[in-house]
Amino acid sequence: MKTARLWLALCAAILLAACVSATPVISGDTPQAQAGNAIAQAEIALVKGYRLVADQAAAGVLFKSELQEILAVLDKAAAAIDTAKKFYDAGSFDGALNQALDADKALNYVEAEVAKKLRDRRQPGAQPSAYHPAMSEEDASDACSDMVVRLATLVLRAKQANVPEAKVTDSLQGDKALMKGAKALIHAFYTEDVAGAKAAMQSLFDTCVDINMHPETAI
Amino acid sequence: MIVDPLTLVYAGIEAYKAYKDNARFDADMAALKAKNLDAAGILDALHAMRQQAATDAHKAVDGMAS
Repeated sequence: MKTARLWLALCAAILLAACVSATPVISGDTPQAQAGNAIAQAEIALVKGYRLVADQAAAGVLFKSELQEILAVLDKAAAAIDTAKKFYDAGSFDGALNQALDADKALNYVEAEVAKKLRDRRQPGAQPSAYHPAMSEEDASDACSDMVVRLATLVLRAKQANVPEAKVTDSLQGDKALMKGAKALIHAFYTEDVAGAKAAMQSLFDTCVDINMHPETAI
Repeated sequence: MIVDPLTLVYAGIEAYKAYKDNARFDADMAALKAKNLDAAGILDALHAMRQQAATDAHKAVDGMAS
């Protein structure tokens, strides 16, 4: 169940990216156009999110309970958009815009849950160390999953803001071995090289387990 | 069924790739734009598309073995 958080976070990153990067469907600067466009973008993100879930259900990689968890988040965002549409149809465009932003909050909730679960998982009194002896292989692997998600989200947002790859990698700090793997992974994400990303992640996971990486010392 | 983190990472990448190469969605949007709908019409069409996607996703997940 813990590892499903990774896919959840990736799903959230995809949906959030869809929310912020899509070109306007309804053009114009009026409050009506802004509200309409916010609703349209959220509807598009939801369509893509639901279709992803249906595809994943067919692929059979994830547990039913994991997909139900993702569906619950999508349903919550959909409910906010339904309310936004009612406001819009009634001519209350500020209300519609606020509700559309609530849908974004529902999607952000997924990311917050991921962070919370990871915090809760820490050992009481654990000391931050890249070579923490108390970390099991599974814990180091989970911490690495979290780090990969954060790096993927970082790259998505940096690309949306047209931040060059070098500036992103220069901003990172951490263990030398981890940094090497993280840079390879970021490059693969930037160039959308799926085979490269898989190879970089395999190497990064091996490094995380080798050094018993602690969550607080992750990049 | 035990799923290791890397399998999920790969699933996430494939999902992202599918999202990026969503030919079906692009075709839906092209068909919608071709109708030259006004703003309210676009929102209604997207709303219907989302409801269908939600129904399909729930049906697919409900049909999975627990």
